[in-house]
Amino acid sequence: MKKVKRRTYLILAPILAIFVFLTIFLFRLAADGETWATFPSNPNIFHGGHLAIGSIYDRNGVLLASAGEQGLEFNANAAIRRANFHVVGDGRGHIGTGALSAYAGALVGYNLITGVYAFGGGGNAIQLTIDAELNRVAYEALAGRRGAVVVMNYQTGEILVSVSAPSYDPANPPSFAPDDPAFEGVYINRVLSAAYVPGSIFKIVTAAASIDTFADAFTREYVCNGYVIIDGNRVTCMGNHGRISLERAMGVSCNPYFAQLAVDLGGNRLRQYTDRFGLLERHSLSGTLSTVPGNFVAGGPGSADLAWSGVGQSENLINPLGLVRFLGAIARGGTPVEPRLIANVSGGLPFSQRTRTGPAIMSARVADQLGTLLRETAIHYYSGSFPGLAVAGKTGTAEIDGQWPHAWFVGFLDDPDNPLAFVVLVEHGGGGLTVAGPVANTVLQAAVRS
Amino acid sequence: MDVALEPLALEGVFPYFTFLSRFLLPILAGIVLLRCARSLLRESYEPEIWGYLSLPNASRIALYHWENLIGRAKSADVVLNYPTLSRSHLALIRDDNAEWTAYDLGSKAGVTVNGESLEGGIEVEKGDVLNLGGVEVVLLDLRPDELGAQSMARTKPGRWLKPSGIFFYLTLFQAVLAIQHSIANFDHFTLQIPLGFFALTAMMWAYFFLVRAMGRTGFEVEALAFLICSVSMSVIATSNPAELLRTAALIFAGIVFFFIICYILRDLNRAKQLRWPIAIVGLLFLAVGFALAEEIYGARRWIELFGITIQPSEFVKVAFIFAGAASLERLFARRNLFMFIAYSALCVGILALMNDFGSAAVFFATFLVIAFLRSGDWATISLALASLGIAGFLVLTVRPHVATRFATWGHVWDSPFGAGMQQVRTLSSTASGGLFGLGAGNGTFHRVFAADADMVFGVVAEELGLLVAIICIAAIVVLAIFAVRASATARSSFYVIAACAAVTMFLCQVILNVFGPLDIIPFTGITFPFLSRGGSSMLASWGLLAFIKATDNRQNASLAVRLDRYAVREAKSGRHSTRQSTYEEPLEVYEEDDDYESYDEAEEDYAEPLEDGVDPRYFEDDLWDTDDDREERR
Repeated sequence: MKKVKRRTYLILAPILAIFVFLTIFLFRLAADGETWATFPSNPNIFHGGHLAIGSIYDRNGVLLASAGEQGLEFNANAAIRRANFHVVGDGRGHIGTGALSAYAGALVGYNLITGVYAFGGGGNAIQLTIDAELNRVAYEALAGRRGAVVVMNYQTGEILVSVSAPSYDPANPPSFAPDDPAFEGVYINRVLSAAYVPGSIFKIVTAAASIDTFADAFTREYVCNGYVIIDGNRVTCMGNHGRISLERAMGVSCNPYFAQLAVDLGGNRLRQYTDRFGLLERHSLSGTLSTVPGNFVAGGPGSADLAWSGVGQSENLINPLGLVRFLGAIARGGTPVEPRLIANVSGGLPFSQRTRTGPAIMSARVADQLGTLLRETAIHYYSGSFPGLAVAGKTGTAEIDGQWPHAWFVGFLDDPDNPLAFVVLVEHGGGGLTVAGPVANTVLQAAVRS
Repeated sequence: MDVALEPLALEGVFPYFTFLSRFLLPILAGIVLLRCARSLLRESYEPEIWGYLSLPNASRIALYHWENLIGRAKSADVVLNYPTLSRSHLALIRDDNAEWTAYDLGSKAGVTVNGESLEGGIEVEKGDVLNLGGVEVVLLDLRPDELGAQSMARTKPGRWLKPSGIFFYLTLFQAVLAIQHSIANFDHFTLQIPLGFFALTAMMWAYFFLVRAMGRTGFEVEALAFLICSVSMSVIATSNPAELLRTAALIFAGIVFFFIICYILRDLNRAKQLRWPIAIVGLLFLAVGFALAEEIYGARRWIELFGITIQPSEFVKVAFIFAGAASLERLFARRNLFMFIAYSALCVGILALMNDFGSAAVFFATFLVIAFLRSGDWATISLALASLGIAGFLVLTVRPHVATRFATWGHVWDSPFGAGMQQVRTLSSTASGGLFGLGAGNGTFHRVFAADADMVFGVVAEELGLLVAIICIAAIVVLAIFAVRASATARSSFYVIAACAAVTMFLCQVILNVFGPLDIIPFTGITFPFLSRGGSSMLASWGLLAFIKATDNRQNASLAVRLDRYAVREAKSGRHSTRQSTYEEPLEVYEEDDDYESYDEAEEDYAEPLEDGVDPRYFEDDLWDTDDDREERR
């Protein structure tokens, strides 16, 4: 009997298996439970594929979407609905980064302990940091062109404006062919999920690297003959600027200056700065959302690739929200504030809604000198474009092979009452100042007024 | 007006009751589980003494089982460390009628009984001299009155917690479920809900009083089954309330089946005689089932007879255990294992042909456990596993739907509306419920086909919460640990093997049923014992429970163990005459025996009250008093 008795301990093997499997499951539940519960095939909180509980408001309490048994109800104004399409989502899961999908867990009040249970029905109200009306202004300023506008309060990290075009009215979804150019990339939130060739706006990065590296950054001069030959390649310029220093080179966006500067800085160093400025990283905001990372091609020492990288061409890519975070850091003395989209959640605090700042990405001196440089640039070279606004910024016209260039205008307001960093991008829009500039002006004027 | 207002006022209370029930249910289920676990796992397992061997040096060694292995090996029940003895020399086996048989286990030096050499098995009487390779031992068995005295000295179950308490909490649990389901179904109310739960409660108490009247006092094993059955009723009340009374009837049938198996097991000779008849009937049943079964959703698991769907694979479980269990003398005859291997291969093969790979896996695992318990041979196990590997490979190549199951495993979110749908929905539901659930009757997962059987964990977790769902698993685990612990004092290896096989089936079913839909392991359709919807499964679960009950050797605890009324009566009339001589020795033996690790618990219990090497409980004048009297005096 003793023999048989000892062998019975074999039964502990399946018991151990149960224990191990259960532990694995509990860990997975803790990590992914919210994703599981908010999958649209869960009839507890979804009816016919759309959320059945929860509502979303903008920063001023304007209703953006409200889920009920009868379906989703959006804002009454079609222009508001279109402008906030990507921020809110369409309720059908097409916009994965929309609040209806990304914050479904918060909307239904999911947590590990009580699941999606709510006393007598329920659902939460989420208040976004977005100003729906400003979004409408920005969307209309894009006037049917594809592009992105984002405005962030660089002291608090609140995203006031986040617009991606094209979009459509989620309450009356149109039917369109997949290759219809009017709806190209309509399901992509360009603020979060797209990265673009930066063009001249990358000169801010090259300039920052120079100021931090060279003691003589501001007196350093290069020669522009309307072009410069680097490694047998011709880097062209819009003008013929002769001997030129940083301040004027920034103002006239002189390509040969920054091309030669990039070569002197070296590809690795320039890459290190780009990385340190957070432009190559994925940034997460308010829980589950995150941006796509950018890209930087260093090229070989002295190569034409490096020269083109220094002026933001080559295969460099940059994400609008990552850029806004970088601009905010310049404005506030070198320390970035992390962008966020949620102001408040009723009935629970699933995400941290405090302002979070990251570690400094540049010294206060560099931030100050760079900020002044951008402010001077705007004052001297873009005068008249931004009446009454203390704009510090830089235009960009990003060349795309065989197509109209992307038009950029990026920067911040050097104004303690309106601490706003902004990025305007018009895809294939043309010249930065003439196309993106007016959009930026319209949005910022409205933002300062409100 | 007043009349119209009244139901409205009542409905206003509903959400509050639901809110409350979400916490009440896990608490009540937890209390039942903990009380059963505490009672099952804490109560002492006092060994029973069935006789003594008197050694040449005049000392005595107690025989603690019906089946005793005597030899030089450390693993022998009676270790006689003489060089002339073989490692396993002699088996000394007692039967229900207190008759002892000695078997020579192929020893080198041989055995003689009263001078005659032993061939095969021979009956041994009290006082017979057995010569084992020159070592003479004398068998001294216990007279009925001595056995009776021992019986009364042993602790009865219920020492830690009164069984009626457990049933009281179970009743509360069922009442809360009945009320909450009535609330959740207020708009489509059916009388089956209160009646079904009431029938379960009534059945449970009827069982309690009936078994008490039969002189048995241990109820923890059944209480755990009733707990899971109550949760099962809750699952049915959600998925198909019109089936509740039918489910209650099936539980009743299960209990009847449980009684029948307990009755068979009560008499070891009867159980051994019925082994092969039952095994063959089971196999035939499976074969007929295979021939008649209709294919439903890829598996030919069900047959329909007179409007009742039957799953033959469930009933074969009981037959399989009868085929696999064996008493000690048989463990040394290899031929029997080969018979069992052939039987297992037939069962697993037919199940695989029926596309019921979940059941095939359960049977195979059970086969491994039985084979190991019987042979102790890792080589056999490795060989079996290797052949499983080859068979599994063949299955994967021949059966595309099995290959799909494996391909889906770990990638369910790649096809949330296709191949991974069942797992995705289970995960969604489990996460939706949180720890306390959405409230009984408030879930939606039960609408998925077969959710109340193959994905029942998700239904329970969604409505009653993860805590209750885990308590259901824990109840099965407690049964398994109990079976292992109780086998320390088991009378025959037949009971040990049967109980271990039964808990292996339970555990494997739980593993496949719970962790397949949760995408931890590949998904396969199989039932959760007592919990899943399905009459065959309910009956088979109760049948298997009888094997676990049969290891419960606490004094008069188990329906599946014979009540020793006669012995007790003898002892009462004999009183003081026999006590001294009988109980002085074993305690000394007990102290000297270093090789006694498996009796830790018993040792603790004995060690405490020991005075001058004597257990006062055996010598107190009130030895004959009932437990209640002793309790009172304390």
